[in-house]
Amino acid sequence: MESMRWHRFKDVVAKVMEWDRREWPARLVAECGDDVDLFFEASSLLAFSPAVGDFIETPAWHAVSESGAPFRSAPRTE
Amino acid sequence: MTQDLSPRVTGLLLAWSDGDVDALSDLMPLVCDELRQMARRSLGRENSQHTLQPTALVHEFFLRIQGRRTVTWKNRKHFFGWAAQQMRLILVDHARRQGRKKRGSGETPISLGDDGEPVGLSQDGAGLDPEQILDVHSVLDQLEAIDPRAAEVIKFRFFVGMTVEETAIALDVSAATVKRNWSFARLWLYRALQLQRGNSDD
Repeated sequence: MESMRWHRFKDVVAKVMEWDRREWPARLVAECGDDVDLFFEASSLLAFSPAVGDFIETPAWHAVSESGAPFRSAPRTE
Repeated sequence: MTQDLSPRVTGLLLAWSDGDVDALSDLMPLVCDELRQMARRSLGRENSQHTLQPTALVHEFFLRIQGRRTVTWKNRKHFFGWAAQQMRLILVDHARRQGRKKRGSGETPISLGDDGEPVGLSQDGAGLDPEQILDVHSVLDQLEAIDPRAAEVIKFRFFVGMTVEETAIALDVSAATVKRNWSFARLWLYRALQLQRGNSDD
Protein backbone atom coordinates (compact mmCIF):
# COMPACT_ATOMS: atom_id res chain seq x y z
CA MET A 1 0.00 0.00 0.00
CA GLU A 2 1.54 3.32 -0.99
CA SER A 3 2.20 5.90 1.69
CA MET A 4 -0.69 8.28 0.94
CA ARG A 5 -3.09 5.35 0.72
CA TRP A 6 -1.80 3.88 3.98
CA HIS A 7 -2.30 7.13 5.85
CA ARG A 8 -5.83 7.46 4.50
CA PHE A 9 -6.56 3.87 5.51
CA LYS A 10 -5.10 4.41 8.99
CA ASP A 11 -6.95 7.69 9.41
CA VAL A 12 -10.29 6.12 8.49
CA VAL A 13 -9.82 3.14 10.82
CA ALA A 14 -8.65 5.32 13.71
CA LYS A 15 -11.54 7.77 13.26
CA VAL A 16 -14.14 5.01 13.10
CA MET A 17 -12.70 3.37 16.23
CA GLU A 18 -13.32 6.54 18.20
CA TRP A 19 -17.07 5.92 17.88
CA ASP A 20 -19.28 3.48 19.67
CA ARG A 21 -19.12 0.13 17.82
CA ARG A 22 -22.78 0.34 16.81
CA GLU A 23 -21.94 3.49 14.86
CA TRP A 24 -19.06 1.93 12.95
CA PRO A 25 -20.90 0.85 9.76
CA ALA A 26 -22.42 4.31 9.28
CA ARG A 27 -19.12 6.07 10.12
CA LEU A 28 -17.24 3.79 7.75
CA VAL A 29 -19.59 4.58 4.90
CA ALA A 30 -19.34 8.29 5.66
CA GLU A 31 -15.53 8.24 5.86
CA CYS A 32 -14.94 6.12 2.77
CA GLY A 33 -17.46 7.79 0.47
CA ASP A 34 -17.19 6.23 -3.00
CA ASP A 35 -13.90 4.52 -2.28
CA VAL A 36 -15.08 0.91 -2.21
CA ASP A 37 -11.58 -0.56 -1.89
CA LEU A 38 -10.90 1.58 1.15
CA PHE A 39 -14.22 0.51 2.65
CA PHE A 40 -13.31 -3.18 2.30
CA GLU A 41 -9.74 -2.70 3.53
CA ALA A 42 -10.90 -0.79 6.59
CA SER A 43 -13.84 -3.06 7.37
CA SER A 44 -11.69 -6.20 7.07
CA LEU A 45 -9.30 -4.80 9.69
CA LEU A 46 -12.10 -3.56 11.95
CA ALA A 47 -13.65 -7.03 11.83
CA PHE A 48 -10.82 -8.21 14.12
CA SER A 49 -11.63 -5.60 16.73
CA PRO A 50 -14.05 -7.64 18.89
CA ALA A 51 -11.35 -10.30 19.39
CA VAL A 52 -8.52 -7.95 20.33
CA GLY A 53 -9.51 -7.63 23.99
CA ASP A 54 -6.54 -6.53 26.10
CA PHE A 55 -3.96 -7.76 23.63
CA ILE A 56 -0.53 -6.24 24.50
CA GLU A 57 -2.16 -3.85 26.97
CA THR A 58 0.16 -5.21 29.65
CA PRO A 59 3.81 -4.29 29.07
CA ALA A 60 6.20 -6.98 27.86
CA TRP A 61 8.21 -6.83 31.08
CA HIS A 62 5.37 -8.45 32.90
CA ALA A 63 5.06 -11.25 30.36
CA VAL A 64 8.76 -12.01 30.54
CA SER A 65 8.72 -12.02 34.32
CA GLU A 66 5.68 -14.31 34.29
CA SER A 67 7.80 -16.95 32.60
CA GLY A 68 9.32 -17.67 35.98
CA ALA A 69 12.98 -17.17 35.15
CA PRO A 70 15.03 -14.44 36.74
CA PHE A 71 16.10 -11.75 34.32
CA ARG A 72 19.80 -11.84 33.55
CA SER A 73 21.93 -9.60 31.42
CA ALA A 74 22.22 -10.94 27.92
CA PRO A 75 25.13 -10.61 25.52
CA ARG A 76 24.66 -7.80 23.00
CA THR A 77 22.87 -8.84 19.84
CA GLU A 78 23.84 -5.92 17.61
CA MET B 1 8.24 11.27 33.23
CA THR B 2 8.04 14.97 33.74
CA GLN B 3 8.26 17.62 31.11
CA ASP B 4 10.78 19.65 33.23
CA LEU B 5 13.44 17.05 32.59
CA SER B 6 13.20 17.46 28.84
CA PRO B 7 15.55 20.45 28.29
CA ARG B 8 18.07 19.05 30.75
CA VAL B 9 18.10 15.60 29.11
CA THR B 10 18.39 17.14 25.65
CA GLY B 11 21.22 19.42 26.82
CA LEU B 12 23.12 16.50 28.33
CA LEU B 13 22.60 14.39 25.22
CA LEU B 14 23.95 17.15 23.01
CA ALA B 15 26.91 17.72 25.33
CA TRP B 16 27.69 14.01 25.35
CA SER B 17 27.43 13.87 21.55
CA ASP B 18 29.88 16.79 21.41
CA GLY B 19 32.43 14.77 23.33
CA ASP B 20 31.69 15.82 26.91
CA VAL B 21 32.18 12.43 28.55
CA ASP B 22 31.11 13.75 31.95
CA ALA B 23 27.67 14.53 30.56
CA LEU B 24 26.92 10.80 30.43
CA SER B 25 27.38 10.50 34.19
CA ASP B 26 24.86 13.28 34.71
CA LEU B 27 22.50 11.88 32.08
CA MET B 28 22.33 8.27 33.17
CA PRO B 29 20.81 8.80 36.62
CA LEU B 30 18.01 10.81 35.01
CA VAL B 31 17.35 8.23 32.33
CA CYS B 32 17.80 5.23 34.62
CA ASP B 33 15.44 6.72 37.18
CA GLU B 34 12.82 7.17 34.50
CA LEU B 35 13.26 3.63 33.21
CA ARG B 36 13.34 2.12 36.68
CA GLN B 37 10.17 3.94 37.65
CA MET B 38 8.48 2.67 34.51
CA ALA B 39 9.57 -0.88 35.31
CA ARG B 40 8.41 -0.66 38.92
CA ARG B 41 5.09 0.84 37.91
CA SER B 42 4.61 -1.75 35.22
CA LEU B 43 5.47 -4.66 37.52
CA GLY B 44 3.76 -3.15 40.53
CA ARG B 45 0.35 -2.93 38.94
CA GLU B 46 0.24 -6.68 38.39
CA ASN B 47 1.45 -8.66 41.37
CA SER B 48 4.39 -9.05 43.69
CA GLN B 49 5.61 -12.44 42.49
CA HIS B 50 7.93 -11.13 39.80
CA THR B 51 11.37 -12.48 39.21
CA LEU B 52 12.22 -9.80 36.65
CA GLN B 53 14.41 -7.21 38.28
CA PRO B 54 13.99 -3.67 36.96
CA THR B 55 17.51 -2.86 38.08
CA ALA B 56 18.95 -5.71 36.02
CA LEU B 57 17.05 -4.55 32.99
CA VAL B 58 18.26 -0.98 33.45
CA HIS B 59 21.80 -2.31 33.97
CA GLU B 60 21.64 -4.11 30.62
CA PHE B 61 20.37 -0.92 29.07
CA PHE B 62 23.26 1.01 30.61
CA LEU B 63 25.76 -1.40 29.03
CA ARG B 64 24.20 -0.78 25.66
CA ILE B 65 24.22 2.99 25.92
CA GLN B 66 27.90 3.01 26.83
CA GLY B 67 28.64 1.53 23.43
CA ARG B 68 26.91 4.46 21.70
CA ARG B 69 29.22 7.29 22.69
CA THR B 70 29.95 8.29 19.09
CA VAL B 71 26.30 8.77 18.12
CA THR B 72 25.04 12.33 17.71
CA TRP B 73 21.73 12.57 19.52
CA LYS B 74 19.44 15.09 17.85
CA ASN B 75 17.22 15.57 20.89
CA ARG B 76 15.49 13.80 23.73
CA LYS B 77 12.94 12.27 21.35
CA HIS B 78 15.71 10.73 19.25
CA PHE B 79 17.34 9.32 22.36
CA PHE B 80 14.16 7.84 23.82
CA GLY B 81 13.33 6.29 20.44
CA TRP B 82 16.68 4.50 20.57
CA ALA B 83 16.15 3.64 24.25
CA ALA B 84 12.75 2.07 23.48
CA GLN B 85 14.31 -0.04 20.73
CA GLN B 86 17.01 -1.24 23.13
CA MET B 87 14.42 -2.17 25.77
CA ARG B 88 12.60 -4.10 23.07
CA LEU B 89 15.74 -6.00 22.06
CA ILE B 90 16.65 -6.81 25.67
CA LEU B 91 13.18 -8.23 26.33
CA VAL B 92 13.18 -10.13 23.04
CA ASP B 93 16.57 -11.67 23.88
CA HIS B 94 15.18 -12.75 27.22
CA ALA B 95 12.00 -14.12 25.64
CA ARG B 96 14.09 -16.09 23.13
CA ARG B 97 16.01 -17.77 25.92
CA GLN B 98 12.77 -18.57 27.75
CA GLY B 99 11.20 -19.84 24.51
CA ARG B 100 14.07 -22.22 23.91
CA LYS B 101 13.70 -23.59 27.43
CA LYS B 102 9.97 -24.03 26.92
CA ARG B 103 10.35 -25.83 23.60
CA GLY B 104 12.79 -28.12 25.35
CA SER B 105 10.10 -28.92 27.88
CA GLY B 106 7.78 -30.21 25.16
CA GLU B 107 5.00 -27.66 25.62
CA THR B 108 2.56 -27.37 22.73
CA PRO B 109 3.07 -24.43 20.37
CA ILE B 110 0.22 -21.99 19.81
CA SER B 111 -2.15 -22.75 16.95
CA LEU B 112 -5.60 -21.79 15.71
CA GLY B 113 -8.55 -23.73 17.10
CA ASP B 114 -11.61 -24.98 15.19
CA ASP B 115 -13.31 -21.64 15.58
CA GLY B 116 -10.31 -19.85 14.08
CA GLU B 117 -9.40 -18.36 17.44
CA PRO B 118 -5.85 -18.88 18.60
CA VAL B 119 -5.47 -21.62 21.17
CA GLY B 120 -3.36 -20.47 24.06
CA LEU B 121 -3.45 -16.78 23.24
CA SER B 122 -4.99 -15.05 26.21
CA GLN B 123 -7.08 -12.00 25.55
CA ASP B 124 -5.21 -10.11 28.18
CA GLY B 125 -1.60 -9.14 28.11
CA ALA B 126 -0.90 -10.77 31.44
CA GLY B 127 -1.32 -14.12 29.72
CA LEU B 128 1.23 -13.31 27.03
CA ASP B 129 3.89 -15.94 26.71
CA PRO B 130 7.53 -15.12 25.89
CA GLU B 131 6.92 -16.81 22.51
CA GLN B 132 4.17 -14.29 21.88
CA ILE B 133 6.55 -11.43 22.62
CA LEU B 134 8.69 -12.81 19.80
CA ASP B 135 5.62 -12.94 17.56
CA VAL B 136 4.78 -9.32 18.33
CA HIS B 137 8.43 -8.43 17.71
CA SER B 138 8.32 -10.04 14.25
CA VAL B 139 5.10 -8.37 13.08
CA LEU B 140 6.24 -5.08 14.57
CA ASP B 141 9.08 -5.09 12.05
CA GLN B 142 6.46 -5.29 9.28
CA LEU B 143 4.53 -2.39 10.77
CA GLU B 144 7.70 -0.36 11.21
CA ALA B 145 8.45 -0.69 7.49
CA ILE B 146 5.03 0.77 6.63
CA ASP B 147 4.38 3.12 9.53
CA PRO B 148 7.33 4.04 11.77
CA ARG B 149 5.22 6.33 14.00
CA ALA B 150 2.70 3.61 14.84
CA ALA B 151 5.52 1.14 15.51
CA GLU B 152 7.22 3.62 17.80
CA VAL B 153 4.06 4.00 19.86
CA ILE B 154 3.95 0.21 20.28
CA LYS B 155 7.58 0.17 21.37
CA PHE B 156 7.03 2.85 24.00
CA ARG B 157 3.75 1.44 25.28
CA PHE B 158 4.37 -2.32 25.08
CA PHE B 159 8.13 -2.75 25.32
CA VAL B 160 8.94 0.16 27.64
CA GLY B 161 5.63 0.26 29.49
CA MET B 162 5.00 4.00 29.12
CA THR B 163 1.54 5.49 29.61
CA VAL B 164 -0.20 7.39 26.81
CA GLU B 165 0.90 10.69 28.36
CA GLU B 166 4.53 9.57 28.79
CA THR B 167 4.63 8.36 25.21
CA ALA B 168 3.21 11.67 24.00
CA ILE B 169 5.97 13.58 25.80
CA ALA B 170 8.70 11.23 24.59
CA LEU B 171 7.51 11.50 20.98
CA ASP B 172 6.62 15.19 21.22
CA VAL B 173 3.07 14.63 19.95
CA SER B 174 -0.38 15.00 21.49
CA ALA B 175 -1.93 12.32 23.70
CA ALA B 176 -4.74 12.06 21.13
CA THR B 177 -2.20 11.18 18.43
CA VAL B 178 -0.71 8.48 20.66
CA LYS B 179 -4.18 7.06 21.40
CA ARG B 180 -5.11 6.93 17.71
CA ASN B 181 -1.82 5.27 16.77
CA TRP B 182 -2.07 2.83 19.69
CA SER B 183 -5.62 1.72 18.86
CA PHE B 184 -4.84 1.33 15.19
CA ALA B 185 -1.46 -0.39 15.63
CA ARG B 186 -2.75 -2.81 18.28
CA LEU B 187 -5.53 -3.91 15.95
CA TRP B 188 -3.20 -4.14 12.94
CA LEU B 189 -0.66 -6.23 14.88
CA TYR B 190 -3.36 -8.50 16.23
CA ARG B 191 -4.63 -9.21 12.72
CA ALA B 192 -1.09 -9.69 11.38
CA LEU B 193 -0.44 -12.27 14.10
CA GLN B 194 -3.67 -14.14 13.36
CA LEU B 195 -2.84 -14.24 9.66
CA GLN B 196 0.73 -15.32 10.36
CA ARG B 197 -0.45 -18.14 12.62
CA GLY B 198 -3.12 -19.15 10.13
CA ASN B 199 -0.52 -19.39 7.36
CA SER B 200 1.91 -21.36 9.48
CA ASP B 201 -0.84 -23.89 10.24
CA ASP B 202 -1.57 -24.48 6.52
